[in-house]
Amino acid sequence: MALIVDGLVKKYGEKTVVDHLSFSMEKPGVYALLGTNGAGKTTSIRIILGMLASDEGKVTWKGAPLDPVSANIGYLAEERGLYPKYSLLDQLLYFAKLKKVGKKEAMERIKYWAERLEVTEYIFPPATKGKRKSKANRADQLSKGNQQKIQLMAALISDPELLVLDEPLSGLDPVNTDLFKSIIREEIGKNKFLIMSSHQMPVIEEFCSDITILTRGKSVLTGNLNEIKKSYGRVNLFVKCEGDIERYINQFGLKIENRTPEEYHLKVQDEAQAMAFLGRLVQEQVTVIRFELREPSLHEIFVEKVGGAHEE
Amino acid sequence: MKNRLSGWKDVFSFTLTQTLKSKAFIASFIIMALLALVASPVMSMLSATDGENENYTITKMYVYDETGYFDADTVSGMLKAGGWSVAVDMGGAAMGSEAYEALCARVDETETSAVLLSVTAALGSVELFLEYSGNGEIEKSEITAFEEVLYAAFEECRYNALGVDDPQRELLSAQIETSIAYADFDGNVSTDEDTSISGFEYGFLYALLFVGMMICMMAGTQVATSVVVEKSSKVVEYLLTSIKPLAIIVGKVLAMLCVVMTEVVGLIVVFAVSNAITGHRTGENMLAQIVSPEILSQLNPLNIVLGLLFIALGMVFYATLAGLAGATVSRMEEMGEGLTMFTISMLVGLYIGIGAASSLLSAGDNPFAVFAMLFPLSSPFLVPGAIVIGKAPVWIVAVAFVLLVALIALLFWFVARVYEALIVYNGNRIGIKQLFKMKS
Repeated sequence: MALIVDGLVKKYGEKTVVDHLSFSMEKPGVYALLGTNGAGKTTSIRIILGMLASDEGKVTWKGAPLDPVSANIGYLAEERGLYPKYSLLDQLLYFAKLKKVGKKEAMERIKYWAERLEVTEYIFPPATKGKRKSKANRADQLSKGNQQKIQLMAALISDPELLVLDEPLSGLDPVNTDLFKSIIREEIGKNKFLIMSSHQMPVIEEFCSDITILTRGKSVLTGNLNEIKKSYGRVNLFVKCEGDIERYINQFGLKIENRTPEEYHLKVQDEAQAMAFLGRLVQEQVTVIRFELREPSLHEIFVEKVGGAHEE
Repeated sequence: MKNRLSGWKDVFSFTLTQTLKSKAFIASFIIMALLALVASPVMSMLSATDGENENYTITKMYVYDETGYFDADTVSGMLKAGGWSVAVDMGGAAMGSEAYEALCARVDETETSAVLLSVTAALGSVELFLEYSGNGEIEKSEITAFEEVLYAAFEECRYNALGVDDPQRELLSAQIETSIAYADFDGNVSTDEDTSISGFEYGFLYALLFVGMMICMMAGTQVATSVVVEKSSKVVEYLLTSIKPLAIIVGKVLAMLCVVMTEVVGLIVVFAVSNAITGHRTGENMLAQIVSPEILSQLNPLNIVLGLLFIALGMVFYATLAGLAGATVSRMEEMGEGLTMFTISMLVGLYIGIGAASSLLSAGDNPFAVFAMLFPLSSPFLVPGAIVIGKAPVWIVAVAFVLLVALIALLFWFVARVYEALIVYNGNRIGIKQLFKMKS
């Protein structure tokens, strides 16, 4: 096992904010930490990264307790942070130095990522006409999206083995979202270990192989995403036909989850029931335009798992 | 411990470079350096103006002397040495009140470069009353300088009139010191010496107390600001993926120590150079006019190094305390409130130092002064001055040093335990009680 998070507990006074959290990553890939606001995701990440001490449990990385000073970890925090008044280049070089990256190597990586993230003009501003030296850009002069790009550069500058991304795509426009996604794909392609926290379920489904859903500090679901989905079975049926099919639905006793002018979203007991329903439609010579039987989405699983607890 | 401090050098160099590059630092240093640069020439110019005699306008002095001590030759001679060529008219000695008033009117209206001196004696005191025309050219600064010379000249006249020779005069003006001796049952005699400090020494001690306090305040505030900026901008979360909190605070404190020490040493050098150049041109040592020669003679390299060492340790202590206080808040707006603990500690140290300096002035060596020199909150402010005026013997310096270093070590131990939780904490300001709970 490369990363083992074993029984983490964190309490603030009487309140338990992380309650026996355990998961592991055997091979490179993306692990998702999901949960509602205040479920304990960021606290868990801080403990994993060694920023906060846990009251119980341990985190091991490649067989030894994870030490952020010696391990090569990249972190993109949910609340982005840059020095507002210092030059962008100065702070990126500082972050690289803290990660024990030499100045020459750091400059090369900064140039690469600046180009890749389309922020070269901010980090290396062109010389102003008539002036010997160009004026360096500061973080407080950048837009939120561009600050996020610089922050991602800081996280990637040491070419980390373990990359922790807390809400990496929040606040980005569609173009930059695609840019960030392509970089995440690139990092996955380099066989990195990634831990990602996000509220955007399609993003998690796109990248993550394993998940843990937290609610009020407790893990309510953990495991491989495909297996979890498979365990729920293919019970979601989407049907679009010419003409009204409600009487057939009622005859089969199917539950209507949602109905739009276009189609029905039905809940079936199993695949056999769905097949029987399709057979009946064909028999009745109903023109079937769409008949899709699929597993529940992560969004549905998430709502099912944390919805009740959240409402309590 | 090594792991906890790993990376402090990177924090140190980054904080140092960024602070030295900051416009605020550059502007404040330039202003202070300019002040240090011009201080000596300006003081020299002012003192030259005081003694300048090229434009003196008093040419005549009428004297009305009731005492009979006044000697025109002696006074003229001393006035001449002071730069005045004045004709002394002693005719007023037998003047009646009407004639005196007429003379006053003449001095006031027509003889505007003349002055009228009346010397009267009553109830065991002598009064020199000097009158000049407010409508003439005589400046107030000139009449003040004239009065000083006149005072000294009358003193001379008085001694001469009484036939006091030089040895007698020396005896009369000698400072009187008292001491009490006591004997115990065994017949051993002990003497109570007057160990109180002079006004000059008190002034020096007092000035250094404030200089020390200002330096510690400056360094502390900068460290606290830096910590709060990192917390409020969330940079600290990124930093903590590479280094431990203790390394951050150590790097910052030492960087600020270097910044402030660079500033102080730079200002001392600028002042010394300016003073030397001014001295070379005017032949006067302006520093000697501000600081008494006794104190100047004690300013040897060892005393300066020891004094700077105590101020440096004080800075480390107070800056660490300020860093801790800065970490208890999450927003810049709360910083003032968060620094209460730091400010109170500093004021306690300062007031104890002031109390000790006052007690040294009024009562000489005393247990309170010893306590103040040993107490780590006040020792960084008091000991540097006490070393120079010879009030801090070696054992006090050694014990004060050990106590201060021990307290700094204790503070670092405490910081190492609470800083980790504090630095990522977001919310209302943390009080001292909660801080100690965190430690436990």
